[in-house]
Amino acid sequence: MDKKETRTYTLVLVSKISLRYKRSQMKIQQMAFMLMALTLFFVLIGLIFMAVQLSGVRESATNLEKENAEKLIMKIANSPEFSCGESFGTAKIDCVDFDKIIVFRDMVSDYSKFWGVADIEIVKLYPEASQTTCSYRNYPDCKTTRIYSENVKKKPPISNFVSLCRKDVVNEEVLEICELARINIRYEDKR
Amino acid sequence: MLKRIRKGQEEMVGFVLIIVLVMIIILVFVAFSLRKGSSKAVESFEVDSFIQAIKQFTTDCAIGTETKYRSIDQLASNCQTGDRCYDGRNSCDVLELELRNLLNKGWNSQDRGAIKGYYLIIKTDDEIIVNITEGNTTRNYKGPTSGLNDELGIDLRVYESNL
Repeated sequence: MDKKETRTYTLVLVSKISLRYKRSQMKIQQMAFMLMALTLFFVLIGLIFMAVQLSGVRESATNLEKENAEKLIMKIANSPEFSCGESFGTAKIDCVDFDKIIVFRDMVSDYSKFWGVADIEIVKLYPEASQTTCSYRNYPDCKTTRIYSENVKKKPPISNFVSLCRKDVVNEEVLEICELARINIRYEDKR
Repeated sequence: MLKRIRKGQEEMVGFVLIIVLVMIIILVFVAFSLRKGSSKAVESFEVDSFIQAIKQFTTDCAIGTETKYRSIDQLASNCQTGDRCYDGRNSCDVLELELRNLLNKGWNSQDRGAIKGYYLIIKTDDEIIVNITEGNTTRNYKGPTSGLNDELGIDLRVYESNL
């Protein structure tokens, strides 16, 4: 093999090695891109999954807050200032004494900040009453009894059912009448 | 050149296969988690309070004397024994009518958009006294809590729109 042939052979060999090297680089790049794409794909799935899970947690938190507010409502309804006690036979739960609260409205200024709410009202649902706010004049034929209200920005109301009981006189006989009502409370919106 | 194109195609098919496989796994997982929480009632204090309140509600049915108006609780017992109201109406008819009105006013879908329907049943000694169904049933419903001590046997389900 002369000098010229040796040189040509070397050149061919170098170009072959270079081509193979480039192909390997290409393969490595392809694999890297593939791995990156797969990682991104799984990260996206993970994010979606987390978002769904977190929305569930947020929903449970909202439900818990609602349940707590409902419990607070029942605590208010069963407090001595509102509850029927034993005025209507045996002690009843979720029962609000209408006669008591219509008088209690006048003394409510003493209870400022006592319940930690910004608004308390009782709305009669059934039997239907005229769309009026309760006062001594129209009692008991009225719909809404506003018990306590602060002059602040308020959150939407949270409510629960109560039995609204009162005593009435029909044909010189004292009757106990209980109606279906809702007690609504509103918290101050501090945002 | 042709060999390189074929190789590229093979890799693309592999990638698509992986994606399809992952999608199937996700679908199975989502379907499984949705089915898990489908038919469980949400125990609600609101339903408890409603049951307590309607039991105390005074109906316009007097039994015995002209002014001895009965509560829903008492009227259920009168219905069971077949008593009639002072004005001659059947106590069971009055009970059902009053309960329908109470349910309609309490769980009105116009006021509370999410409510799709309700179902109320009153049972005593395995005998059904009242059975009221209104609207549509859904998989998402509210029911009384297990802590509700109800000797009358009232079961109320309030169906809300599915999540």
